[in-house]
Amino acid sequence: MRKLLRLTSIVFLASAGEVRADECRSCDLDNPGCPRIVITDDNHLDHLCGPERIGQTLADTDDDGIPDLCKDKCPCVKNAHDPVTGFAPCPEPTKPRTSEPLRCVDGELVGIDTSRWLAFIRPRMFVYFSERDWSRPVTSAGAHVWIVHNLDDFACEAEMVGDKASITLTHEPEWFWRTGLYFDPALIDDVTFVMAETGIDFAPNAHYLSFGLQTHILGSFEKEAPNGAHLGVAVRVGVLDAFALLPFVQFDLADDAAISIGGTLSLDLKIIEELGVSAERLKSGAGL
Amino acid sequence: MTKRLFIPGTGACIFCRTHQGVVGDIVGSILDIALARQSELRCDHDDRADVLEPRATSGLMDGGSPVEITANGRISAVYRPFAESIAPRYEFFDYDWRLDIRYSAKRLREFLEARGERWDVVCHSQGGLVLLIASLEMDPAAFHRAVRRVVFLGVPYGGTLNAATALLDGVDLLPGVNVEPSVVRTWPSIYMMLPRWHVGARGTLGADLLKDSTWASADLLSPDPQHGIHPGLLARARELFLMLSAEPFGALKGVERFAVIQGRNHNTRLRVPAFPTLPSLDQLDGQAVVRGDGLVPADVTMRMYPGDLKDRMDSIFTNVRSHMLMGSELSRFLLCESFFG
Repeated sequence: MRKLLRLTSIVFLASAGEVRADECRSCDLDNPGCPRIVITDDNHLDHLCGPERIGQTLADTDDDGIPDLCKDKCPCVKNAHDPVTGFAPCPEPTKPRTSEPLRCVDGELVGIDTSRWLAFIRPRMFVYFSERDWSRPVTSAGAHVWIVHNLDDFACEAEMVGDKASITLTHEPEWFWRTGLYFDPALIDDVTFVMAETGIDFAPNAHYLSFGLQTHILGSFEKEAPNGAHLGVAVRVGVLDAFALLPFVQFDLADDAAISIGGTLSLDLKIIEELGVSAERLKSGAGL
Repeated sequence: MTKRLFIPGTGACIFCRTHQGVVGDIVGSILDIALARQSELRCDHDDRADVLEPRATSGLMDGGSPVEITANGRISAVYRPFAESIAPRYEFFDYDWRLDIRYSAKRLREFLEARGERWDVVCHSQGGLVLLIASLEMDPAAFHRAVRRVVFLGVPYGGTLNAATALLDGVDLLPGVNVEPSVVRTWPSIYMMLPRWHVGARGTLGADLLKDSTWASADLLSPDPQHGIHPGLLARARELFLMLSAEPFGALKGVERFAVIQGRNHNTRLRVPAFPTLPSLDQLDGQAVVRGDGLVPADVTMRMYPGDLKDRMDSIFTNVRSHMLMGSELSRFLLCESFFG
């Protein structure tokens, strides 16, 4: 009866998460019924013991393979460590979480809001040639700020992995609406360019390339020349989202829809520097 | 106002030479190092596992004293959306990913305490282990004041067999370009990411790759990095194992939201029945080779998170470009931001 009462109290305390090593009386190693473990150089990790225990014979009151004096946080509760995971967690009271758990309901993620605006900035540069003078390129370099919004959403399946309710994403957003503003503060020459653009991107999940289609309106402002305005359309090919090339064709709205063709490079040259290639080395032709 | 912090993974921070505390040039290109100056990336640690600070962070000497290398910046191409986001802006925690993970965690703890701000944190790969160890070293209340929500991206919580590959064969930067094993064998972090599960080496039990005996039986245990893996650095890995075996999520499970995202569309090594010969990645058999992100086996890692976390964490599997590029995809960035509301 006393044994039953002791066991009941242990279970109660354990379920309350209050059993700690110092509150549990280790069994007496001199008692032949007391489980014991010999710690060797080669098995101390198997028993979750530190190297300071090597050579010792230790009591394992709850006979769970973890000696009371090692990493057994609850030596009166049989919490054998998983041979795969190496863990032996103690019973703990469940605390309510403060956020709604993520769930998969009818193939949709519930618990987070996945419809979002995202805003980015990156350097970009472009060059174009006009039919008015194919031999004279127009160049520009500046900053591009853009926002994107996903047009499709995550899809999911629920599954159990071990004891954990998990979610497998069967689809991730890959269609994005993009709109942005480009500004060249006349760093290269005396012309200030401003470009507004909008388009659609397709970035398939787990692929290295992304594609897009967009339209833009480009304004050029020069001190001693009339302002210009071009309406253009571009396709976009991105690699790893790290850089993108956008060949475009555009029409001069101030000059009888004169055609010009060109390309935009969306790339932060810092990427190259991060790989250890300085501007000096690039100029010297050493490169990578 | 909660700010955003990104803790990068192995290989993703840039190294710069430092002289008398002043940060200098980036340490050459990766190809330069692999082809010509491998010893520059060699580091040196005390034989005692409880000494966290490195003795030297470079194998090169300059005027009789070792050249010091520090982490300064990240390779932003692998974290493009996080690096380019302007609303919100992400700060990156730079750390030397070669060093003892406990040392990096100490530096992270110092960073969090010094800044005194509250963060939503995305951790990639080794970065998750750095945050986890930092959480163990901090007072839980102080940790919760500093960290509000956490996302783990491909964190090798149970380790990775690719760490054994790196110690045995070196690291392939590009086809035909390899960081020599004798260099990788001086990096404690790689030892500390050895699998903490049983990989099935012949005649072994438990976390076999953390045992001296497993490596010694293959004649691969030696303090000389040319000849084998270092017993002192293996002892550091065992220290980490014991830290993570007690109650590793004591503080972390108290954050407002904790999400774990694992890739599951690449063949990934799980077991080594013929150690030290590693199984071919081409043969997916569900035993030696399973699904993961190419570095972290998905299901086993998810199972290794303690059971008492099951009501506290969101666990997600998805398809990724690769382990290294998990943080490069726009949809992954969108998912992280969705967790942070």
